[in-house]
Amino acid sequence: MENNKSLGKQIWKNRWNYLFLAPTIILFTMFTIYPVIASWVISFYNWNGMEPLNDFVGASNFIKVATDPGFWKAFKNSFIYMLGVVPIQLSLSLIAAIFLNNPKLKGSTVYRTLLFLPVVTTTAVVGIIMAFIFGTYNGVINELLLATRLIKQPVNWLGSANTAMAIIITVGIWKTFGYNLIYWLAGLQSIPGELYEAAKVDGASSRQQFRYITVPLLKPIAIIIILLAIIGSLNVFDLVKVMTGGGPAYATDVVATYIYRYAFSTEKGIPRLGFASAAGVFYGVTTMLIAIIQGALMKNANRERADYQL
Amino acid sequence: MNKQSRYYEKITHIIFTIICFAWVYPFLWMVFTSFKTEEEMFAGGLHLLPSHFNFGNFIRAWEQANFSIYFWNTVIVTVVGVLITIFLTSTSGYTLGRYNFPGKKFFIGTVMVMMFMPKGYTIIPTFELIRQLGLLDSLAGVILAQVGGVNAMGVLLFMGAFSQIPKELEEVAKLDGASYPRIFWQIMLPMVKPIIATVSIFQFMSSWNDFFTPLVFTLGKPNLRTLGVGMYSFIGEHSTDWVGMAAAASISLIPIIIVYMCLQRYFIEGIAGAVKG
Amino acid sequence: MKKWPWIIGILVALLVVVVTTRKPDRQVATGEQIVVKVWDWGVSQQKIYEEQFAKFMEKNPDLKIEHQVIQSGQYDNLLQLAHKNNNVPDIFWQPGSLKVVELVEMGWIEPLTEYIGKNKDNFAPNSFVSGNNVIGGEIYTFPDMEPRTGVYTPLYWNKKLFKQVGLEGPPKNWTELREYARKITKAGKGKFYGFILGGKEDFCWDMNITALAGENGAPTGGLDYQQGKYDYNKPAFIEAYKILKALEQDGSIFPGFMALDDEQARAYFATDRAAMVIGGIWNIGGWKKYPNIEYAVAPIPLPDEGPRSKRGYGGGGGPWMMSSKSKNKEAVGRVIAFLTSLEFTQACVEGGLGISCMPKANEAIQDPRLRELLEIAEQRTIIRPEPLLRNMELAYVNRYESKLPPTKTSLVSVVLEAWTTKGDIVKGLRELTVEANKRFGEMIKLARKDGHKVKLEDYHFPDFNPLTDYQGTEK
Repeated sequence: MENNKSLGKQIWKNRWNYLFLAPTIILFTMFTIYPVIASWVISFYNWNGMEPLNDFVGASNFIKVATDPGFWKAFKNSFIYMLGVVPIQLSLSLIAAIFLNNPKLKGSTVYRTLLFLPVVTTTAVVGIIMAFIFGTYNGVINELLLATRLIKQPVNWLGSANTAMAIIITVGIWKTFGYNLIYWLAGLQSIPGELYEAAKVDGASSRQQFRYITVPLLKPIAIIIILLAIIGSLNVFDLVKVMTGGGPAYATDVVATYIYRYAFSTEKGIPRLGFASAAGVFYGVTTMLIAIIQGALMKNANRERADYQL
Repeated sequence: MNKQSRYYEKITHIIFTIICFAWVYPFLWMVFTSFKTEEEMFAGGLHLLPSHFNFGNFIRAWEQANFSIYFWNTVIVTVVGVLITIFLTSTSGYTLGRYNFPGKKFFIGTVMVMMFMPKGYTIIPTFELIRQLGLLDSLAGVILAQVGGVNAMGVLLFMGAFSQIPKELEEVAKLDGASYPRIFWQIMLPMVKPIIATVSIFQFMSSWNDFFTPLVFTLGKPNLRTLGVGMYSFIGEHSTDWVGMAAAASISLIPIIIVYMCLQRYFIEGIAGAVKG
Repeated sequence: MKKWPWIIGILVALLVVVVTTRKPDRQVATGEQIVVKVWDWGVSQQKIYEEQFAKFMEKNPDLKIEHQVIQSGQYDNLLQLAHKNNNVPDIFWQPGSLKVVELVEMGWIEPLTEYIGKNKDNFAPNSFVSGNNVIGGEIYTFPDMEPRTGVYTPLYWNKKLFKQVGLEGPPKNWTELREYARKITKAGKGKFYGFILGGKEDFCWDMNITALAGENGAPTGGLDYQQGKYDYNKPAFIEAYKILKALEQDGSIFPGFMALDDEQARAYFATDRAAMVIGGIWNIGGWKKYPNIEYAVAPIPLPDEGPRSKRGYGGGGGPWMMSSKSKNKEAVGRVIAFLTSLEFTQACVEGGLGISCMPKANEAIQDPRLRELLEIAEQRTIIRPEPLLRNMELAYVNRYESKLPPTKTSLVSVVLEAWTTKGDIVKGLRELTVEANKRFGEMIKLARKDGHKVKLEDYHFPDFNPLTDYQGTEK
C-alpha cells in the first residue's frame, strides 16, 4: 500500500519524524561529517599542520601506510586488544548487571557505585599505580606469586613483549568495565518486569527466564553495546600510552598510538598530519569492512541454523 | 526468604565485596595520594594511608588548576552540554526507533559509518566552523564544539530502547488525540529513564573532563577555560606534579560521583515502574 | 524528580565555596592599559615568570601582561589557529616545528635587535649565531638557557647508597661504572640497585646511549661533520650499547626499568632504590621535592682509554619571539627588554630554573650541584661546526624529512630491537647508517628541487677535531 504513495506524500506523512531528526542531522553534518570528510581530504596531502594545504600527493600516503610493517603490527595489536577485552568484559559485566539488577539485593547501589569508580579514576594516575602493582621491584603481583611459590623469579610483566599486552588487556577490562555495566543495566531495565512475573507464575526457572525473556528482549540493545565495545577497544589510546607507551620496542603499539606518534608528538620531528589522516582513514575503512563482513557471516550462520532447526 | 536463597545472597555479597575492594583500590590510592608528598608516594608504593594528612596539595591544586575561576565555567558547559545532548539523541533516537520513513536507513547507516571513521587529527575544520558562527572565545562555542558532533552512542541507545516499548501505549494515546510531540514528551520519554541517565552520565563525564576543546576555543579568553584544562597545569615537559594532580583530580571528580549517585536510581526503575504506574 | 532540589542544593553549596574563595579579579583595568599577550609552555617556569611580570607591571602601570601557559603537544597548531583568528600573542616561544628562517619568511616575527639594545651585552658571546637566531644581521630570538648544560647530560650519583657500600666517589671510567654498579647491587640485596634508566621512553634511551657514546668518538645525532655524513658504524655506539647491556646482564639495572618512564626512574633514584642515573639538568629541579635526597653530579664515566671526543654544542637558540603583528610595538619592546634584562634572568636563576646564558646572572646560582654541572659541561663540551654559518639555506633541509616516507628506524629503534629480541646491534647500526644517509641525500635533493641552494658538502668539515672547539673559518 505504502509503496503506491508518492515520495512527497510519504515525507509529508512523516513530517514530525523529519522535524525531530532535523536538529541532529544539521549538527551531525556540521560537526561530525564535515571534519571526517576534511580528514579524508587531508589524507591526500603532505601536510604538517602549519603550512597551507598545497602539496597534493595522491594516494601515496595510503600506499605508505599499507606498506609499513609497523602499521600492520599496530593493527594486529589493536585487534588482539579488542579480542582480549570485549568478550571477557561484556560477559562479566552482563553477569554483574544481572545480579545488581535484582532489586532485592541489599547494597546493590553501593556495589554499582564502587564498580563504576575505575571509569573516573584519572588514566595518568592509573599508569603509576599499575607500575606499582605489576612492577618487577616489589610489585604486588610478583610478591604474591613468589610467596605462593608459583614463580621463582619476579616476572617483568610490563617490560617484556610476551606479557605486556596481556597486562594491558587486564587493566583495560578493569578500567572500562563500568561503562558496560551501566549499558547492560540500562538494557535490562528496558525489559518490562511483568514478563518475569508472568513467567514465574508459569513456573519458569531463572535459567529459563534468562533464556526466553532476557536474551531475546536484550538483543537489540546488546548489538549496540557490543558494537560500542568493539569500536571503543579498537581505538584504545590513553591506557596504552600511560602503561607502556607502545613498548617495549613497539610490542604493544596499537593503531591509535601509532597515529599519535606521527600526528602530534615531536618524537618523529615535524608532524605528518596527511600521513596520520591516511592511516586513520585506512584503519577506519578496514575495521568497518571487517565488521560488515562479520555481520553478514553471522546473519548467514543464524539463518542456516534456523533452517536446520526447522 | 528461604534458607537457600539467603545462603546465595551471602555468597553474592562476599564475592562482590572482594571484587569491589580490588576494583576501587586504585581510586582510593589516588585519593590518599593527594595527602602525600611526592617522596612518600614513590617510596610507599601501594601503601594506602599517608603518614600524616597534609592538605598542602589541595591548596596548591586549587590555585594552580584555577578551580575558583574554572569551576563555574565547567558547570555551565557541562550542564548545557548534557541538556543539548539529551534533546538531540532522544528526539532522533525516538523517530529512528519507532517509525519507518524514507531516508531512515541511510541516516542510520551514515551514523554507523561515522563511528568507525577517525574524527580527524586536526581541530581546524571545527575551529573554522565555530569561527564562521562567530562563537570563538565564548562558552557557547565550547559547548557547540563539544556536543555538536552528536553523541552517536546516545542516538543508538535511545533507538534501541524506544524500539522495545509496546505499540499499544502509543495507540491509546493517539486515540485520546495526543499530538506527536506530546506522546514523545509525556508518554515515551519517561519510559526510557535508564537511557536518559546513561547518556547523561557519560556526556557529563566527557564534557567535565574535556581538555582540548575548551583550550582551543578559549585561546583569546583564558578566563573561560574549564577544569579539564586546569588539570593539565600539573604536567610539565620534564616534571609532573603527581600529588598535585591527584589532589586536583580528587576534587574535580566529586561532582561526577555525585551526579552518578543521583542518576543511578534510574538504572533500577525503568520501564517496569512506568508501566505499573 | 523529587531529588532535584537535593542536587541543586549541592550545586549551590559548591558554588558558594567557589565564589567565596575566588580571588579578586585582577582585571581591574584602569582605562588605557595596553595588553601584552605572552604565550609559552613552561609549566615549571610559570610561577617565577608571573611573579616577575607582576613586578614589571608595577613599574609599568600602562602595561598589562596576559600570560598563558599552553601545556599541550599541539602548541604549534594552536599558535597557527591564533594567527588565523588574528589573535596572535605579542610574545611567544618558538614553535618546535619551524625554524627561525622559516618564521621570518612567513612574516610571523619581528626583529628584536632594537628592543634588546644594550641588553645584548648581558648574554654570553655564543648566544647569538647567524643563521640560527640572527638572520640578515637582525636578532629574532634569544636563548634563556646555557647551551652547554643544555647539551651535556651528566651522571647523578646517590651519596647515601655509595657511602653505604664504602665507595667514596663516582665512577670515572666504564670499568668502574660496571664494578660500582655491581657492588652496590650486591649490597642492596634486592632493596637497591646500581643503575636505572627510564626504559619506557625513547628519549631516555637516546639520552643514555648518546651520553655514553658521545665522549668515545660518536657524533651527537649521528651526523659526523668530519666526514660530512651520518655514521652510526662508529665503535662508540656499539660500545655504549654493550656497556649498558653488561650492566643489565650483571643484574645491576633496577628491575623492571623497561616499564618506567624518566620521571619514575628519577623517583626511584631519589628514594634510594637506585644509585646512578644519567639525566638532564631538569633532574636537579625535579628533585627539589625530595628533602631527604643526597646526591651529586659527576661527569659521564669515560671509556677506559680516555676521551675520544667531546660533546658538541652549537649555541644560539631561542625560545622568546615577538610577533610582527603586534599593534603596539613600543610596549611589547619594553617587555622584550625586560626579558633580556639581568634582573629578570637573575630572578629565574635564583628561582632554580637552571643555568642561564648570562654569566653575570649565574653568579646567583645557589644549588652547588648546578655549579658542578656548569663546570663539568664547560670541560666536556666543545663548539661544533655550524653548517648554517656557511649556508643559511640549510635551515630549510629539515622540513623535507616530512615529505619522505615515514621511518621507524632510528638509533633507539635499533637499540631496542637488539635489546629485546637479541638482534644484531652491529648489523642494525650498519643498516641505519645506510638508511640515514639515503634519506639525508633525498632531503637535500628535494630541497634543491625547490630552489634552495644546498649541497651535501655544506655539512663536511674535514678540519674538525672532535676534541677541540671548532674555529674553522670560511674561505
